[in-house]
Amino acid sequence: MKVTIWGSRGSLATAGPETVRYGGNTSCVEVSASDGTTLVLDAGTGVRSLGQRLAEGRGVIHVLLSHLHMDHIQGLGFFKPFFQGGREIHVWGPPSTTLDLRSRLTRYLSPPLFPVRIGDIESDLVLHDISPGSWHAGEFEIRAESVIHPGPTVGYRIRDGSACVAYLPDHEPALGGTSWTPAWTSGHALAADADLLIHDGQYTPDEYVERVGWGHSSVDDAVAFAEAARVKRVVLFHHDPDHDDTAVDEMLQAARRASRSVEVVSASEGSTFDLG
Amino acid sequence: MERVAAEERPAGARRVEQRPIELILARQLAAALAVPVLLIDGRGDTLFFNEPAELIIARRFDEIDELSFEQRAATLAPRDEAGQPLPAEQLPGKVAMRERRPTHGLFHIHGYDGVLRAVEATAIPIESAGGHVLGAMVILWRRPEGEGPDGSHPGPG
Repeated sequence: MKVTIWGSRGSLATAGPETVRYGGNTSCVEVSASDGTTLVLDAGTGVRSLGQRLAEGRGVIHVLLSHLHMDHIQGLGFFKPFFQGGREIHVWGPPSTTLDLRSRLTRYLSPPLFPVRIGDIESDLVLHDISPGSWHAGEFEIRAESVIHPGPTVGYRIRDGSACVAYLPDHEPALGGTSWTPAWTSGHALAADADLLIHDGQYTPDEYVERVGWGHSSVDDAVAFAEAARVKRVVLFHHDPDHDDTAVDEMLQAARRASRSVEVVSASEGSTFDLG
Repeated sequence: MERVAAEERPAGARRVEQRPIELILARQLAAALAVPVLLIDGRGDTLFFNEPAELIIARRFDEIDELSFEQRAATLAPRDEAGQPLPAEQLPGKVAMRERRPTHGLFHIHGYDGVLRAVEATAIPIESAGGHVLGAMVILWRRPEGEGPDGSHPGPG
């Protein structure tokens, strides 16, 4: 299993010289298996570049949306494989209590927000409403569960043989308490014992105090969550648009000081993780 | 797409039993409230009760932790207004989950100290976005002894 970061920024794409090392594109992660199965985790602005590369092939693509906030879907209209006639693409995402995934996505993929309608997409597009549970896509076993974040939001646990990655890009487990016990911690079942955890680490602890309930985590909480889940490595993700590279560096150093057992890295565009 | 069973865990690995986030958030809310609250799961087992509820149950939650429905029913031994044992299935939490609607009731329960207390309870079902009844929040409050359903007190004689 190979994991590649195509967009690490949260909330808003942030291009410029001050974000060039960690990247300015919003959430998008590619997970590929040895059998050629490709998963695309979220479709923020990072999915545009990934789509250009994937358009060179014809294999089945599974796009797994964690939720439908703009920074996770804005790239959909620029995802080149969508416009390849006959290309089989599955898009998975959470419905709301009253609307299915198609109806929710149509709010973006229609005028006036976007000129192309979802019905104009030329590929063989299949939309799947996610309910908590597990399913297979190629070699991958995928599990989705609801996690704490405003609006319908899921995290993913993806296994390929013995390798496991957990993806919780927008997650505020501290809102449910900080006992970090398995039973009472949002997302624990997804992250438990994962080789790699990609987790929300948008704020410094001081910033978090001012933004409780916004749906994101401090780096300290991300590390505490990762340690409680006994993951091997945590990737701090969803960098705040107001944090330049230097700020992300400082947060990474602080997170490493806070960690007792987990390897901590910060997500940067282009970085890859080979989980074997 | 083929649905699969939850992944198997290797022998000896700890069992992860994470609660649904609706219950996690409900517990956190209950812990912050000044009104007595019990949180029960879909089976009726008590997952949590807050400090104000400890005064009615006469035991700290941390001393008990989670409590099965059968244990709770046996210990609290609820009785109706006439003093007769109240069938467990008629408790507001059970009715709220079964009928998927808020439910209100007046009855008596014993605390762990053996004292019978008159209480009112309003139970609200916790239903997930997927339509599954995950449990209920049961809000309790004590009634002064002898107070009727309308707040009236029996007169002398």
